[in-house]
Amino acid sequence: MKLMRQTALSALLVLIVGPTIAAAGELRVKLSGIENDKGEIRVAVFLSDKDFEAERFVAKIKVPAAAGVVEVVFEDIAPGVYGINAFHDKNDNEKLDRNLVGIPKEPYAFSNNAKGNFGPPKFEAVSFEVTSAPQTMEINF
Amino acid sequence: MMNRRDFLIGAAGGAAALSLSPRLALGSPGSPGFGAQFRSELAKKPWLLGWASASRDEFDSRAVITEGKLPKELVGTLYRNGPGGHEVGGRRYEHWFDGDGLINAFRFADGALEHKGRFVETEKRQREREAGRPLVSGFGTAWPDLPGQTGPAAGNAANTSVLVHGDDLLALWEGGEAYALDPQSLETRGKHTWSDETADLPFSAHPRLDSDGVLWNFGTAAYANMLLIYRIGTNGKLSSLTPVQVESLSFIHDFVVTDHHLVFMMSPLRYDNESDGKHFLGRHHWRKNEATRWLVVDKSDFSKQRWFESPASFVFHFGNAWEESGHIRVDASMYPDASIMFEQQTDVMRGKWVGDVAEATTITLNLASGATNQEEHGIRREFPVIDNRVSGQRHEFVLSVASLEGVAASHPLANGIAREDTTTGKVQTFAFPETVTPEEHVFVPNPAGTRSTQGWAIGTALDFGRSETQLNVFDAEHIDDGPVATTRFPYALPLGFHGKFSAAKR
Repeated sequence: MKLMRQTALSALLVLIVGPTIAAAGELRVKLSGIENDKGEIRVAVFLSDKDFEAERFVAKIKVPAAAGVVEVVFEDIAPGVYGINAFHDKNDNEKLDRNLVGIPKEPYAFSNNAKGNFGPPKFEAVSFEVTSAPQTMEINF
Repeated sequence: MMNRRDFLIGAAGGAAALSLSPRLALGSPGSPGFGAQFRSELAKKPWLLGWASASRDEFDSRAVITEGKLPKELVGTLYRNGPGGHEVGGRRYEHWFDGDGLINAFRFADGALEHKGRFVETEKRQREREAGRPLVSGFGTAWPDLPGQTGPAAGNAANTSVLVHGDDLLALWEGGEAYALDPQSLETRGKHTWSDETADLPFSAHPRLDSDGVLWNFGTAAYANMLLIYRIGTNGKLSSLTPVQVESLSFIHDFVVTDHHLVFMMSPLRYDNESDGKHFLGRHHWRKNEATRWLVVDKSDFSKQRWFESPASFVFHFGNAWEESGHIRVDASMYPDASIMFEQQTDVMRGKWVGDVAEATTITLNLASGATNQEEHGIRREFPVIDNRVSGQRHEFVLSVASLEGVAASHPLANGIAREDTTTGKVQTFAFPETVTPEEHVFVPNPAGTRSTQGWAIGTALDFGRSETQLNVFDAEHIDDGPVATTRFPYALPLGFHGKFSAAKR
């Protein structure tokens, strides 16, 4: 079901990006610095600060956590400018756990290894261009 | 085109930027010129010694000289905390509040005094020592080559005050948890977590003991406009942690507790979530056209909140507060604005003067009418301290570090100790010799005394003329007689912030 939703979102994206469509590319995300193999690594692709805040993602993938490095592949990502957020959902409750004042309690990271400043990094810091050629984004927790 | 941030990175990187703008380059934290500027000024202004880093990592001293006589009834330990390391990997912090916490324990026993000093081994200190360079920006310093902060707790320097709590000595900061130390060896045990929920939460350096033995404290999560209220029961355990949402939270360093209320002063130094400031202080703005707000919370029901307003002003420290005849009276050391935070405490790190100390002021909140009133006492003083046994009740006297007028001094710092008698209005003062600047003095009751005011005022002072830290013991009823004992240590300690006396024999 989730896979279907991802596909549907990708299809939607293709429609949104419409005029600039070239052939969709493969986006490989290599995540390193994973503490242990508990829970899942959840990776999401988004288009803007607003979308990230509202958790409107163009694609999401989850994979079992493994100490060290994990790779995920987003297929059919249309050319465009995106950001990636990943977090280690250690207790597999499908959300980034936060403390009482909103600071994340589980490891998280962004594309370009952008760091936040009293909040998540801005889209301009995390964003990168996806072309029709396959590419790899390396993110370190 | 090079923007300001790029320029600062360049300045940190080397000499190329120096030729463009020596002033800005020298003023950039972590640039080679910044520490050099301080050292150059220190050579001309010996009083800056108080802002030099500790000369060593550990202090242990028994061989000390005492003038006068240490009272044999005085048994226990004065613990003090303050930033002791103003450089990391040779790069100097820009703000006085950023250095790693150095705990100093002064033990009185059998008419003698011992000193032990140890840094709090925070996560930050350990990681940065291993790396040999700064890894996180501080409260008031943004290293230009580091990214912004994920949250204030990352820079926890545990450098502001102490609290003896059960078998632990807690080193308090305000943006994150306290660190627990062994009160005897001063070895760091680790972060003191009250419950699973409190990990890395802000916990202020100014908890207040209530008359019923409950310990109250607060934490400010400015980025979430959230005030956290901690209630720690007489069993030493957290009995409640309550978030209170506040519109546009202000910077809050201290608070007061009365019989029925918790009182938070919110100066117009407000947090700005949209700011791109790279350190916590830099994300605050002084809104000079706005009033100071006072939030008064009912201790028995936090949802019962009242707001008061008074003219814009800034306070670090309150002496005390109490209720009488439908009024809350608050003793404060008050500044007209927050420039001490932004300018003076940054300037001193590069070798310029800090500015004036605060005016002793009583603020009255009229619980019936909602009106406020404030009255200056006519003395300039900071670090106000009362007899903690009457915290929340009307106090008989306030001890403080004072700027005494008409006293010749070779330095612009506070130069005396004052005792304000709240019954008679009489102010006693003692002016230190001109190369000596005093630090906070606490009140220690005399266990053999028959009057509540009997006891000692004890505290440290920096004799920059002799490069020595001294500890003075005054008869608390006769400050103007001068110290009954002065003990000198053969080294200078950096000026610190707050201390607490523990009468336990350790």
